Amino acid sequence: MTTDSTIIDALLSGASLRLVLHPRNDVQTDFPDMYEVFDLRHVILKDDKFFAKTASAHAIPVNFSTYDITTALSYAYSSYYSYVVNSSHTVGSARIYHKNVYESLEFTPVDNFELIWEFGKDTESAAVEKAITEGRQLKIALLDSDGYWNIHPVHMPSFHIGKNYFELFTDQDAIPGFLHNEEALMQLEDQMKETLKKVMRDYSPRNMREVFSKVGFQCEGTEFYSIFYTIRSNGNYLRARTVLKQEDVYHYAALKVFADKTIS
Amino acid sequence: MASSINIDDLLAGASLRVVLHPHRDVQVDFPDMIESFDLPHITLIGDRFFAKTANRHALSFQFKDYDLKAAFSYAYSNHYDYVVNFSQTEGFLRICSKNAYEEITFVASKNYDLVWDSENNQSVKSVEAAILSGRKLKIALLDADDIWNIHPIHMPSFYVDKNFFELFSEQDSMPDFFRSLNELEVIGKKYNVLLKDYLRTNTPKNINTAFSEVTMFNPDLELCSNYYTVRSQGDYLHGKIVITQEEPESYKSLKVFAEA
Repeated sequence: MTTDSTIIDALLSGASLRLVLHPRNDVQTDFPDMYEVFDLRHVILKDDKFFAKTASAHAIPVNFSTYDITTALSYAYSSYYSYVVNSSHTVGSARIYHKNVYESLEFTPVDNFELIWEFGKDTESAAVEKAITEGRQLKIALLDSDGYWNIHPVHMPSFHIGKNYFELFTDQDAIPGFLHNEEALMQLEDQMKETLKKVMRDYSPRNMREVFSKVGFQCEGTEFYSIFYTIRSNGNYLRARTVLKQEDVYHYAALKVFADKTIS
Repeated sequence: MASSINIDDLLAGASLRVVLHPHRDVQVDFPDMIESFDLPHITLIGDRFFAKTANRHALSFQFKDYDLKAAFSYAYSNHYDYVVNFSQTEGFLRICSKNAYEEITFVASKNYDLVWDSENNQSVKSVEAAILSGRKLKIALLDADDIWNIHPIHMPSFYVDKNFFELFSEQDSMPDFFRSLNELEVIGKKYNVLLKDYLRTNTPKNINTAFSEVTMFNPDLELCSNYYTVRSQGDYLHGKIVITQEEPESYKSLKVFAEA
């Protein structure tokens, strides 16, 4: 069995996080009994609790409304909290629903990236430069001043020739701001528990689909938190800012750079 | 100068990356640098492709103020002399010369295995096993127009004991003209005329000016969805929502790859 601590150790060593889902047959009644899987490429980790989300690349809204080329949603899961967050920063919505709509959720770390650079330990950027020139994909784990590890894929890595300096630009994406706020996460947990209790009391649980559809709720007025980072080997970074135009740097407490493992 | 790539590698599951060395005289805001992109969306016609990044590039080429909702992508070809930079959210499309780069090197990273082929496989067991072990999938789908569409899968699924899988690709889009050799050719010719005229009337002492001036904007803003719902039984939906908008098309061939 994969425990939370082994998952977290694996993530901070470069493993990618996947989630294998088995929706409850009596909740997801529009489909046959099925399994599905998500790549949870964005991880927000504090101590032993994380929320991890897919890219904003999910085309299907929960109500199966008509296809819209501009609609993009994402799903976020936690091993600790009892709810799932289905959100879209383009639409401006965040829906919370209970994890028990799934019969099983299995977090699966995949050992497909390796650590190639760590701030404070590696002074030379040669390993990162080599990975970039070989076309390897990179991702980062950045520890910020609030004690959150922010793990994100790098969309465009770059280095300055002969300068021993790299600059990494992560994917443009966003998370509901409360994923970066433990207090708000706990409030949602309490709200979910209360709602579930009330619905279970009001409805005989003969119809699980009805119960769980009543347990979900919208987080009105959700503010979104950009996870677009410009990260530099010299110890500083930008978040939600455009390089050259909006320089107002932060300093990271730690930074790890991972590259996808080459296949021999 | 762009490096060549073996098309067979792409149809065997290799991931396409591009390593770029921008011309110092063109990209004057930065020091001499190297950058790279993953190109997960590939439209392949014969031996010619246009391959693009995901729509996840946050920076506009003019370095405007950051906007959470702005997302761009870049597309590169092994045949055509231009690069396409576009944004669905911003409603713009820009064609610029490949010569803005001193070097463009395509790299095929052999990091995916073929696990299912519509021409050989009856059982979907190998796809089910890949899903249960959390491996990422991608597809190469040959459509009725003989175009190979290679895209990453956002959500793979299978029905328990039904010998049936259904794969949902990432929500993304690309210019419609990527699917037309004729239109790709016309755009290339128009661009070359613009460049020739500019270089004839302007002394090209400043390459930065030349390449920034000779840019075509919005030649065709028709965007084509890259969102597919692909099934093991031979059909697929394109730009449609399962259940409510069922109107399947049939693929000629489908290959499913899982990360190695």
